Amino acid sequence: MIGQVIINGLVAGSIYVLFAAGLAIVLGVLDIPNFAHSQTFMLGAFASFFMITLLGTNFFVASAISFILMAVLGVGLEKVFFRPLRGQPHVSLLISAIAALLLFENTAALLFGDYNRMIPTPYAAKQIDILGASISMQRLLVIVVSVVLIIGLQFFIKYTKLGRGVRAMGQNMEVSQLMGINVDRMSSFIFALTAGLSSVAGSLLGSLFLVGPHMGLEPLLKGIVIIVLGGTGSIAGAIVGGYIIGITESITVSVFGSAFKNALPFILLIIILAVKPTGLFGYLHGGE
Amino acid sequence: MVKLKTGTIAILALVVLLVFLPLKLSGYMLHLLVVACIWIIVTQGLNIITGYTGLLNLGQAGLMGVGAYSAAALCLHGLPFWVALLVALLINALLGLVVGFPVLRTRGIYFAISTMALGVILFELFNSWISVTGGPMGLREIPRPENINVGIANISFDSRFSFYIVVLLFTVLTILLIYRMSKSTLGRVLIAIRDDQVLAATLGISPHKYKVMAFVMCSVLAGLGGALYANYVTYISPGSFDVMASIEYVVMVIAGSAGTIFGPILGTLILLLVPETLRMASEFRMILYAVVLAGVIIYMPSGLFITIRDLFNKSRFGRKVMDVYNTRIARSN
Repeated sequence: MIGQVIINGLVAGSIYVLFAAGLAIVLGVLDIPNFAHSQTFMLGAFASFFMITLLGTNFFVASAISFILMAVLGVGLEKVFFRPLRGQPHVSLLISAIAALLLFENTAALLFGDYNRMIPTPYAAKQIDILGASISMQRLLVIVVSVVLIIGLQFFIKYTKLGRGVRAMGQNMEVSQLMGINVDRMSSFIFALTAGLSSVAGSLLGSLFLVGPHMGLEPLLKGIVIIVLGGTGSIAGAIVGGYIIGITESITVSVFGSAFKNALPFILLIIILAVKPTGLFGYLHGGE
Repeated sequence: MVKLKTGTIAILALVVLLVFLPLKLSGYMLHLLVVACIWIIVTQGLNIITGYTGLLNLGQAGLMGVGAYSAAALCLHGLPFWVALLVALLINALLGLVVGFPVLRTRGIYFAISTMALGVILFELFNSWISVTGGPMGLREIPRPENINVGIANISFDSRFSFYIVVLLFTVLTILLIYRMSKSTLGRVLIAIRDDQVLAATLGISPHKYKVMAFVMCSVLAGLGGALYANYVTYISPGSFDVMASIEYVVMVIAGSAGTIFGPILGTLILLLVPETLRMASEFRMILYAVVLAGVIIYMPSGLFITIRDLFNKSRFGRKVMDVYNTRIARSN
């Protein structure tokens, strides 16, 4: 029973981590609260769904192609909704992000219909027993793929030249520009990367739960709590925050039932912000 | 004297229009007018905190829901409407105080996130506190306000028109309140905090205290709108008070011009009436909201009303009008 609860928490937590890492990078490096992250997540899941059901593509190939599609969309998103507002206060960027969110979500609801589907995979039926808890292959796959991608992302940011550029921009946009970093191109790159990651998170979630136009809202709300918990721009923070939220949620559901599931992280959030108004890890940008 | 006369005539004409025009309107248009008035109360409340104080509140619909559910639940338990309304406003004031105290320590995006969190918590509360709120089914058959006997006249609220008059009265009072506030110490302090909180603090202002006051006012007006809404439509469910609804109110305030009296009114009317008259599906309506929001924030960040006002002031006709106006004032002095 306890093993099952923890595994459920790990599965949900892995998806949250993958989702929140992109949100944290964009907020930490580019200073943009990209709420439309939830929409590349949703559209990525839809892209995988259509490829798998209509074309019969393999799950991994479909996820990879939707990664590329969403990367392109991410670049467009940044160009249209965020580039004209560079240097504006957070709140303007947030409003622009909400506009993008509404646009994508409702266009998807119009085009694809406002109901839920599920991505079929051949791995869902197979069960494995670990420590007395049974877990389907697909759930294991979700955990493994997320962990591999997160480790890869961490390596990329830490040890590659491009990753160093990303971190430099996070520290000081103007100085990094003076050091020869092309800020425009780098912004496009970061949006492509994070949008692609969110689409993989979407495909993974869609293979376990449901794909629908409004599927982005819940991970978005959780993702916001996670970056307030873990600090912006910090992938390690997103990992810690993501698994904390995933496992707490799983425990709450098994103890109190699902009625309270959505409210709890937010009660936590308000308490954290009340005690420490700039988030748990205080090096966040002042919040203006 | 001239100024006073034209001003008075304009206001009298507006009052006559607002009171008597609805007699000629169809039931549906009158319904839209009542909803517009209620929304104006809610968006003016939001205007205090988002417009004058410059803090993005993404939980306004949740606060409105608190007023709506309090009034509805009390009315269903047999309390007269006016008592229920008063209690609902008190609950909202208390909530604004208790929540505002910690939440207003945050600024900028963290304030937006915490108020959004508040909105989600309240929504979950409406959804799961079934014994009071009815859960996802909502509350039904909420009574309309009781009839009032004023000596000879007997005012009944069964008709939509008499309800409209009450709502209109509250709306006018709200607008007057916001107008007086914007000219008062409180309003000026809030604007000072919006423009530069640190500077305001060095002048001996306690930003936190004034922000809490602004949030309480915002919460009370949201509750007033909610209570009127519940007793007008006689049926409420959590769906009307979710985060998306909060975002709609924010769009109305910002698209109209946050921090002005007329801006949010304009924004509310346009964003309510245009989708309704075009009979849009809800997805189309939200897409319209999205496009308006992005367009406004990118191309005219100060909002529709201020943009139009500036264009008018710059145009030749506008300058002429201002010249005539100024000379008249000079002469009357």
